[in-house]
Amino acid sequence: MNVHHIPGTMSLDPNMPADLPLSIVRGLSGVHYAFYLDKEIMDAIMTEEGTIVGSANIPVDN
Amino acid sequence: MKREAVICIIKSHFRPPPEPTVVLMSGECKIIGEEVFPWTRKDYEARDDVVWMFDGFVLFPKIPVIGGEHFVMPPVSFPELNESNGCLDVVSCSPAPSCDAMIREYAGLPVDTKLASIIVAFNRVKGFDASIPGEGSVKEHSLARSHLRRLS
Repeated sequence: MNVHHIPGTMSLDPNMPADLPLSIVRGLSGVHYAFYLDKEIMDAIMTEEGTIVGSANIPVDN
Repeated sequence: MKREAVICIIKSHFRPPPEPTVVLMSGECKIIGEEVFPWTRKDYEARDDVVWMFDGFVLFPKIPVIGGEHFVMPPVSFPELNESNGCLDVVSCSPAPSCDAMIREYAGLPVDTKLASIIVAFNRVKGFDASIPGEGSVKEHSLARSHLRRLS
């Protein structure tokens, strides 16, 4: 696993102790990375999701 | 996702979702189509009230479409996180491909089409100690790291 560290709440460092929910998720089969998302990226995701259009130009609500 | 905490999972494979991850809804919020998994396909094959839109998606043409239609990626349950491990109101979803790319860029992860992401959001049980015994809390670890940085 690669090690990356983003300042703030978002850390991919496997050596940094996770809390219980994060450690459970990291232990699931098939999971390569698991990390908390901070507000900055969540705001960007919410904005981007609002622009998504599905097949036949049908709006998508995610 | 209006929850206290949001975890992003980047995974190669994962257990099947417990319920459809995409449905087609009418303007009256009635389900007029839904995703079909290989293991639920048999439930639909014998029905005469469905039309196959794609290989993995059926429409329910007998339900009237009033007020247009829109795809909905409904919140999907995530049973691994629950009250026993300090989590409440747990929901998950798959972000759009463009959001998946944004997350990876933000996190400094390489683009890898073999991996996909899931977002899990939850509220925390009040008073629940989610730190792992013997490992110290994340806060303690961060304090120790800043202390070491100051010393070095």
